[in-house]
Amino acid sequence: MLTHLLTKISTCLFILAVISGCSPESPSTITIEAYVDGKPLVYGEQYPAPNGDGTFMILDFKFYISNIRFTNSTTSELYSEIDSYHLAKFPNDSRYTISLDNLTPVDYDKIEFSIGIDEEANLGTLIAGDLDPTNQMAWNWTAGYKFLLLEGKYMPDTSNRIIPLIYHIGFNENRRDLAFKVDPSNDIRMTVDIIEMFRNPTNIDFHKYPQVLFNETDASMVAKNYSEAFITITP
Amino acid sequence: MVMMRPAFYICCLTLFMSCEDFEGGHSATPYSEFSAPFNFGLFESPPNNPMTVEGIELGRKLFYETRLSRDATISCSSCHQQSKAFTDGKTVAIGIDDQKGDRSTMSLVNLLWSTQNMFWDGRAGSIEEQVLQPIANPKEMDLPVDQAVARLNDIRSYRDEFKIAFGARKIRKEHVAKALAQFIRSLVSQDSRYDKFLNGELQLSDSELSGMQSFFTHPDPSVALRGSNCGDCHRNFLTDGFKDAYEGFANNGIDDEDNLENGLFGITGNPLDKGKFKVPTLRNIALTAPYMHDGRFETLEEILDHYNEHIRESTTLDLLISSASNEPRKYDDPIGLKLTEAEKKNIIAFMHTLTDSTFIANEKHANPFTD
Repeated sequence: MLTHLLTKISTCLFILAVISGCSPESPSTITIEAYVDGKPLVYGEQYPAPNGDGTFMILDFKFYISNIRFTNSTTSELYSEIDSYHLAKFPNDSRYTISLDNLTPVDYDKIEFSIGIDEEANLGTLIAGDLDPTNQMAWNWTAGYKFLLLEGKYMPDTSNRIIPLIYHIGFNENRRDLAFKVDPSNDIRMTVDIIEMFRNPTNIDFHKYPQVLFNETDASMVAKNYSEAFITITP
Repeated sequence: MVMMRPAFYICCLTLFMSCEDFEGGHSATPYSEFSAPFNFGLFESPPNNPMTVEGIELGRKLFYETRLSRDATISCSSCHQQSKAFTDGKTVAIGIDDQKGDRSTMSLVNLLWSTQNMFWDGRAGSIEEQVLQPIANPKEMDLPVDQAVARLNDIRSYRDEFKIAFGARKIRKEHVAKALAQFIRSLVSQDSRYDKFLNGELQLSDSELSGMQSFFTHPDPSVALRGSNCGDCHRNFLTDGFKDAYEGFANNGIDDEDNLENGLFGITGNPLDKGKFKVPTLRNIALTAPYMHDGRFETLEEILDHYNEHIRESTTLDLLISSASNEPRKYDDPIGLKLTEAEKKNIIAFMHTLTDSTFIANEKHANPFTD
């Protein structure tokens, strides 16, 4: 009985997918490519430190992109993705892809989304999309999620010591809502450049800030950096 | 301060919705009366191996079946003993002819929610893949899997049960793997004092609560936040490693660079994975001594001392360990948490709240061949 019902549901979903998927008028995927100062992200590779001496490497990088919406600025038509909580991660290559299922075939010229998670979902008990209170992004000493996680090592010229780099950025006030113009006929290609976390407006020196976790002032400083030039979209 | 999420219960359809794998003529009963704490998060059985009442029961028999070993002396349960939360109390596993294995026996609990990369080094990609290896391993049960399957095919009661569970006219090794995996996924521990606390059924002592707070907190001296950062690897509620890919594998600093074993590196070939081993669950940790992949620590106190003051450095040492200290430190200082003795005692008190006496006495998990 249950199987029968599910078969019916999946058939309907399949038909829907065929109808909507064929339209050339709406993007069906968002691809996020990760770079470090213009070079593709490779874990363990050494890059020049952004401000100051030495080099650094990245060993883990993830961030939440959520509440993706498309709008037509002329007609104000809106498409909001359901359960729109994606944990962008780059385990084997520098690319992460979001599939936009069931996107209604209407012309869109603008995409809006957040880096981070809205307050209700962040502090609530919702399990949707990539929200999971047992995943690596969930804080465990308090409620909510890290919005962005970067872990790596800093190798300064001035010392033989290798300094662990830990950036776990969370807290509601550090969610950033971004909007970009897009060409509705193409898939969306987003680039994220990690080096922008450490500059513009604040140049962050790894000597001074090797770890940013629960210090609200420091976390907010990094969040301001990731609202500027961190993510770009080629229209 | 500590995260408290309401503990209501959810049920997951994917446990029993797929029936495509059956060969027809089967009459297995979907394992539908199943619930789990919300805290544990989402779970699913592989679509090609939905859990059924008969499949689990058959897996239980196979788990306790000594005829799956060459000389019919040992079974899975020889090393995975229910009274010890499915471990054996030994430094390394002891197999057929009293042979010493290479690693300490891992506890089997709440694997329905866990990474599917099994063994300390992650060499099996699923529970189904894992369960057949000890049968064939010359140091464990030493019976080629084909011969094990042939033995089962010669036993009428097994032929009948496999037919009901999998619609199988002839038992194949895939059926054996699936049945064992179903039983292992049915080993759910959700009645510890910690669970009862999460469900609002009891209050923990001040010491246990302080220990829990410390366990789940990464220290940040810049805001005077103290913690022992166990939760950085032993994730929320479940206390095992993270689920996705190889996120649940870490180098926890028990060996220096010169003595680092391959661990996960032997499987992935990625030098960044050298010395990483599977982060084990801490559920029932008070029952599963000795500890670490080679059983080198005998007590919880030794474990706390290790993380607090005996971390050995290597290139792949976990960054959340190498970076963690409860006191501001210069980077030439040795790695160490700088916990107080009272904090260590509290953390151990919390670890004892993870013991589930209901789980180790649950008759559904016990040997079906004895009364």
